[in-house]
Amino acid sequence: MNKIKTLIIDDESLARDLLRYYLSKDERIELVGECANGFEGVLAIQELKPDLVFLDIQMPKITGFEMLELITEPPAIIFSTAYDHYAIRAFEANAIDYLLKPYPYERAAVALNKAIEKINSKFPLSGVNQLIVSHDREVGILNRVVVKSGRKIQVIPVDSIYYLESQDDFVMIYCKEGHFMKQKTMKFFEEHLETTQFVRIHRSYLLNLSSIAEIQQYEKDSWVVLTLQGAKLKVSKAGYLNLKEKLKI
Amino acid sequence: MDHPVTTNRISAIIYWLFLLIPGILQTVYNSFYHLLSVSDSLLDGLIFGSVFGVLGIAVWYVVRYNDPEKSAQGQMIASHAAASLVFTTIWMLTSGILAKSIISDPLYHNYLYGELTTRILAGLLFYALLVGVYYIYVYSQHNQEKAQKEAELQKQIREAQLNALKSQINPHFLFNSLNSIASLTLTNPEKAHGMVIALSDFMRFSLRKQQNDMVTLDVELKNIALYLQIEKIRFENKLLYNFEIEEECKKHLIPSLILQPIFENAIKYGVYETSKPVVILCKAQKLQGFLEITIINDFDPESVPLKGEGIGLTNINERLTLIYGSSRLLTAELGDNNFKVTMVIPD
Repeated sequence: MNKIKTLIIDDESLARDLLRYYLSKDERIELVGECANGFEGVLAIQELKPDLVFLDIQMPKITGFEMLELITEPPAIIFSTAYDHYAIRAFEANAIDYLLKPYPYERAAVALNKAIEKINSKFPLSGVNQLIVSHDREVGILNRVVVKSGRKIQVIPVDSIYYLESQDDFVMIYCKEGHFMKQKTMKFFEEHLETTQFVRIHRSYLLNLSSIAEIQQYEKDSWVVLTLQGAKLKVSKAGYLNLKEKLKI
Repeated sequence: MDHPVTTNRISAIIYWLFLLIPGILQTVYNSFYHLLSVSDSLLDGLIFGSVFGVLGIAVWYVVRYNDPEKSAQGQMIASHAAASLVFTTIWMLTSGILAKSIISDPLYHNYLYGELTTRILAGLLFYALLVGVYYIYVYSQHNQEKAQKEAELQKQIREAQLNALKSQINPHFLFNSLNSIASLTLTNPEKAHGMVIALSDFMRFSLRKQQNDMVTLDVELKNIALYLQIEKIRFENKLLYNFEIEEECKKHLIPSLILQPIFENAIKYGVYETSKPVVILCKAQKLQGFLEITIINDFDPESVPLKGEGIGLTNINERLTLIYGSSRLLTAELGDNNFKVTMVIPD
């Protein structure tokens, strides 16, 4: 049987040391790499195609969850974290496992057995996607969005977003840094962006109020918003009512 | 503080009713003893009474200006002595001229000249009575305000205590440190040993100190050094720190654990959010008897930290305000790639 290709992503070298030691005790495991942050983690997962990842949550620049959002076919994930925030409880059902630091070898072994069983079972790993969905419910109002274009990862502060456009099953984010595709629904952004700042003006558009230059009516029940950056966005009747309410006009 | 008569209908009614009493007495006295006609006596009472009433409303501002909480006693007495003379003069002149032009009976005119001294004395006496009533009102208002302020203060103290407790036991810090120790016991037992001791000392200090304790800067910084030492084991070269403390500052008293949250923030927004080395610089110097403590940390300008739920600067400022009664002891400056907090501690 092939060895399980395993990757460690944790920003603390001492935590990696300990995990490396635990993994070395299990002959079914082959450690293929170690990363100290989510940026490295995304690239390592793409290049090394590991079967299993031990993932910390709180890391520089992007969290473990934000990193997972950038990966299209995620491997099996075991969380290894001291972050005992309420959110963790929501994953219990979905994650292969999550380990609260510090944990003994025996506890890590239980998680490894579960993971190996799941990887060898040939069933698709649906766990991670469910995990992100359930994470979405736990996150409050966003103040940043993490996106990827090619090999480059961008952390976008929500204040620099001009507007979002829905396209099939993803959302295009137009911002100061350019435009980026994000595998999320419009509904997600509507629920997790500050409602005093972002308004749904059309089925396809969620607009940052501060980027409005002008609102023009061009037919009965039909308007357009001109943004400061020169874009023209359609406004529906319901969207116009939303706009009026938010701008108090 | 609002005017007690003009802003409240009930007290306005009481005020004018009370003025009626001397007015009626005066009328009765005049018509019986001085044999003035009833209508002249009534007019006399009405004129002097209403002029007094109008002027009396203005007396409030003399009282307001001489707040017993803020003014010296001598100044208050002098103000009221002058005001009572001005008040009586205006009262006599206005009412006298009005009365003389309205009431034509020469008998009344004679009577009025004869009464002048009595009325001036009465004017001074009524002024004193009125001022007395106003001050009773001022005192009761002050007491209400004080009770409210006291309740607010108590609430803030409780909140500060709760927040301090929360920051003392930062689970993220504690469990990550314990995990580092777990790792070191296998790879570097000697380092693990040092870290356990540093962590114990740090926890002991944090748990023992109460929110309202005062400690010397020296003691507070020794504890922070323990904290940084622990984080340094975890983050190695990613964390650099430097203390520049003037010798004479070391014995200055500061509220315990007041600096701790600033260093925690520096670690949280500086070290946790970047892969590059972060320097934390802490300086302390004496400035005109005040102790000035400055803490500067680098941060990665490209990082977008998640919204904090932690113990913010607002909290520290609240504590300083409660202790020293000034809300301007803490300032924060956000630079391009560093964050600077300055705290001034009075003697």
